[in-house]
This record gives sequence, C-alpha cells and structure tokens, in this order.
Amino acid sequence: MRNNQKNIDKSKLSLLKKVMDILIPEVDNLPSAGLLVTDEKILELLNKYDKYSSSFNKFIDALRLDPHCRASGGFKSLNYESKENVLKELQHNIPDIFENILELIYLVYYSNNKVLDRINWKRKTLQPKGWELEKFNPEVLDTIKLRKPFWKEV
Amino acid sequence: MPIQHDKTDILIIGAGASGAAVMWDLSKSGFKVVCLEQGTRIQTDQHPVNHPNWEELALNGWNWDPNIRKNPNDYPINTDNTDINPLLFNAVGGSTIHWTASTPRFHPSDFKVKTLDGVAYDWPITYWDLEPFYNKNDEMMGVSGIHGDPANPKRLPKQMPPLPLGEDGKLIAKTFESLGWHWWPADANVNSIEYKGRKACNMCGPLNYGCPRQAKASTDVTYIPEAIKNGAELRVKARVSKIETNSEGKATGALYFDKDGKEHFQPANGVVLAMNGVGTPRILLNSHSNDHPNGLSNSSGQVGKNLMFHVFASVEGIFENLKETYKGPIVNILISQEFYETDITRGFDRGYILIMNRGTSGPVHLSKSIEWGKNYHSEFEKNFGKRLGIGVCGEDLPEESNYVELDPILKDSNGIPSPKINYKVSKESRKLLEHGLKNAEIVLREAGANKIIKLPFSKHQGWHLMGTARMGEDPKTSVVNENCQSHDLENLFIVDASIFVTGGAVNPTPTIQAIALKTSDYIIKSRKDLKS
Repeated sequence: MRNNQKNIDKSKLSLLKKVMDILIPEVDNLPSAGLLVTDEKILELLNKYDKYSSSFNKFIDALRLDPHCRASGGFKSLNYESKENVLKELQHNIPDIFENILELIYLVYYSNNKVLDRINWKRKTLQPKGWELEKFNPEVLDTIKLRKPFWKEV
Repeated sequence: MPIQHDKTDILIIGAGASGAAVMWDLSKSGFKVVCLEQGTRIQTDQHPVNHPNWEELALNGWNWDPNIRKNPNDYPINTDNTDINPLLFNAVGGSTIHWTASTPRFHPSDFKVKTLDGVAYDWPITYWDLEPFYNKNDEMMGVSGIHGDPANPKRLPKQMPPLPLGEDGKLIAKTFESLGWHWWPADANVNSIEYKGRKACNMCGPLNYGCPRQAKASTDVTYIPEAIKNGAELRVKARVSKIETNSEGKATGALYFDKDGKEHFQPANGVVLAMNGVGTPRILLNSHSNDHPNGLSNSSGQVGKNLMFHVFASVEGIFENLKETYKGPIVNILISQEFYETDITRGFDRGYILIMNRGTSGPVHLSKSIEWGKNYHSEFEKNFGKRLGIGVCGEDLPEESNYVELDPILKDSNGIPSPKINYKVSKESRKLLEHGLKNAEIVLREAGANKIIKLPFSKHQGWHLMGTARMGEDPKTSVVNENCQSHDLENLFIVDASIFVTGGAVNPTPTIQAIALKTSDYIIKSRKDLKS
C-alpha cells in the first residue's frame, strides 16, 4: 500500500530522531542524522511504504518497552554507551524490523544534499549520463587464450 | 459467465523471457497468437536509474521480492518454509525487466549429470540439440562477449565485443591468471555497441534497476515488438487462474481476470505456459478438475516437485588503492569457470562459477552492509567506491522434498491460491558453497584486498526458479517430453525453467530461451494441426 496519509505520532518521530543520532553520528561540519534531516522526509517515506511505517511502530514500541529505557526514564535519558547497547540488543532481537529502520534512516540521510556533497556523490541520477570506461582490449586475453579447452566432452 | 473471446491458434501465458521468444517465433510463422500477461508495460520513465531516489525505488517498488514489492500485479508467495525466497518480476518482459542480463550457456555436461556423475537425472536432450536455438536467441537478444573461451565449446562469433573490464576488472583478471585459474569476459545481453537500433550501455551501474537506453535486452524491447509487428496480440493485466480441458484430454484455453476483476475465457488450439518455475506449477495445480484431480499434467505427481534455485553467496574485499568501483555495470565483467565440472576430491558433485561484481553500488546499499554508530563514517569512507566482490553461483541438484504447492489460505487479489515454497539448501550445496567462498576469498586476498567481508548467506537470492515440471522420457517420472509437450495433454507445452531437469551452475535465461525456441520450432514443423 502506498501514498496513504498515516497518522504518525510526533513523539515517536522525535524518538526515532534520537535513535538516528546514535546510528549516524556527526561528522566534519555536519550534525548527527537526527539533527540534520527534516521530519518531512521521514514522514514522506513512512507514508509511502507500509514496510517502513509498520517497522517504525514496532521498533518504537520495542524501544519504549526495553527494560533499560524504562528503568532510566526513557531512551533519551540514557547515556551514549547505554543507548548504543540498547540498539545493539534490539538489532539482535528484532533483526528484520531493525534492518527496515536502518534502511529508512539511510534513505532519509542520503537524500540530504549536504550529505551527498560531503561524499562527493554528484551522480544523484545515474542516467542519462552514466560513466565512461575504457573499451575492452582483446590483448588482455593473450595468456588465458593459451589454455587448451577443458570443458567436459559428453 | 466469463467473457468469451475468439479462438486463437496458440495461447501463451506469460510475456517474459520464454513466452516472448515463442510469441515471436510462432507469429513469424503465421500462427495466430494471443499472449496473456498479468503485469503491465513498464515505461522507461519509471526505471529507477532515471530518478535521484533510485535506491529508494530499488528497495521498494522495484524490489526483486514480490512480497516486499507488493505491486498490484504481484501475487503473494508463502515463504515461511524456505531457505531461499523466489525473486521474480511481473510485467511485459517478465523478470528480464529486472535481470542483470548475464548470459553464459550451460555446458554439455549439464545435460548428462546422471551419466557423468551418478546424480539426479540426465536430460533427454543434449547441448548440441540446443546449440542452433542458442544461436538464434543470441541473434535476437544480442550478446556482448568474445569467442575462444577454453571453458566452453566453440561457438559463433558474438554480436558485439565484450563490455569494458575497467581497471578493477583487469586487476581481478590478472589475479585469476596468477593463480592459474580460468577467467573470461562475461557474456551479456547488454549492448557494448549499438545493436538492432538499441543504444550501447553507458556504464551507469545497477542494470537490474532498469535501462532506459534499452542497452539491456529485456524481452519487451527485443522479441515482443517484433512479435506484435508479426500480428501477435498481447493482453496485459490479464491474470490466468486456470487452464480448461475437454473430455478428449486436450487443453481448450484459459480462464483469466482482467484489471477490473472480470473473468474471461480465451479458447485456443494449443496452450503454452511460460510463467516461471513458481507461476507455472501454481496454475497447473490450480487447474485441477474431475478428470485431473491432482492438477493438470500431473499424472506423474511431479508438478511442483524438484524446485531448484542456484545457491549463491558472495565475498567482498576493500581495495584502498581503487577509486569509484561503482563505475560500470555491477556484473557482466568477468567470470571464472575453473570449478565448473565435478572433481570428486572436493567432496561434492558438480560445481560453480565465480563472478566478479562491483559490490555495493550506491551509498544506501553500502551503508546496509557496514557498522552503524561511532565508526560509521570512517567505515563508509573505507568502503565507498573501494569494494569489489566475487560471487559464487553453484549448482543445486533436484530433490523431491523441495517443492511448490498451493497455499490453503493465502490468495492473490483475484482469489487465486498463492504458491507456498518448501525448500531447504542441501548439505551438498552448502559444501559446494563453502568451497566456492574459500576460493573467492583467495582471489580477493591475492588481488590485494586490505580487508575481506564475508557477506552472510541470505534468503534473498532466489533469482533462478527451475525444475518444477521437469522434462523426461518417462511419463511416470516427468511432466513434459523432449519437445516440452505435456505427457498428459498433447496440445499443452511448458517453456519456462520449470522443465529443467537440472540447473547447471550458470544463469539460466539463454538456456530457457533456447528451449523455448526449440519448442516453437517443433510446433511450427510438426504441429500444423494447431494452425487454423
């Protein structure tokens, strides 16, 4: 199902952005992912694909139910190491959901122009330009051509 | 009552690799042909490579897995009991819309594994029976490559020179040579120069996510336009539910649903099934009746059995000295067939190929395979544009315990039962894969990789769907004869990889298409009774 406007809980979105800060930290002059990306881009993908919205809800629920988070007043209150440990545990316990969350976060992160400029990924659209490679030169086959046929006759 | 159509000579179900080839060949010979395809035509502006969010599209609406993709033309597949998920595409062109167009041929030994190695079954045909049809298919699809490969029989010059190797390809080629192992430029149905009005490849990379230049030979840009010029009729968004039969034991046509859910009946003198190794047994099993209680063409009980995928896994290396390894096609660079034939000292029967690939193509795809957290950015920098991979594609021998059946609950949007896949990778296949992965690692280390990444065995690799309606001489143990004609119904033919007796260790499409053309040749020459 696509293009449904889903009712996304803002507090869940805010929590996801805190998770993003751990998964993709700041680098050079760029802040961590949660501080960099806009709500709009995350919402766009959550609204577009059930795969992400359903994983998002399950992931946030699992995060809220995590005993370490509950004991410390929530994920946001944990220190950096504890946040990392909680996420590693979730990755182990709910791998498919975690993978979808990672995919969502990377898609959002690499839709940001500042991020793309930083990695020098200018070819945002692969066509129509493509890339240039040197044409095939048959001389590279000089050695292998010396080998006798070795396929099995039947 | 279903809407009735005028009778046609031949009804083809499925407009993918094989159905399109038969459609062209029969229409060229004056047969009246109707082809039903449950998918639609994919317009080139829909191809992900045209869009800045191509990775998003690739991972979702263009995902190989129909259970993830969930397009309206897809049917759900129960994959709860399988080690490998079937990957396929429903559209005009079928899975060739989505394929990487790597086109090595089977070896002569692939057709005689029982005789040579004492495993599985021999095919009732040989490589040499298929050779003229491989050649005919090459002419239509166009092969980039070069003759003289010592790992394969001699063949006609290919239509186009090989695709460029790139600096990375040259490095890996030299490494194979230093190890004393075979390598050869990959055969590909991708244009290295303009061919039949289709442009040359411009090396954009992920050719599995569309090719608006039409450099990649999907059948929607090769066979199908020619078939339509010949007068063949293609009906899209036409989802077949059942093949009907009469009291004389003949197929009479097919029931199908249109885009609005209305039911139609298309009568025909002969019916050709071309729906792939999962779709074909699904419809045969769903076509059960009082006369055919176990499904159609299933007196042997073999429909759905012996499902084969190729076993596939990959090792990647990071090369600090390489830059921008995302430049160029992700595959179709070179392959090694050093380990193709059986060598009993290895501890398993049959063999595998090693396929060079350019690893992860875009930043999102790469990120999914590296560590998140503190080290994320440094890992990204070490990996991006610096990865090369060696994939292992190995033979997966047929076993009755690997099979497709109808799911008792799951159905598609028209209420047609979904297929359920029951499949386990055998111990033999795992041994073969382990052997291949060790050798892949040796190549990458020898080539100078600074770090090796062993990608885990993944469920998402069932590109090649084979064996579920196998060919054979004995009607008690096979579904079709050497002409792909059903043993049970003399006017029913199956031309997709369902009929494969064994799967070889190479991409199957040229072999599928050669078999399809051999079948149409038989119909043209020997079944004039099917022509009105």
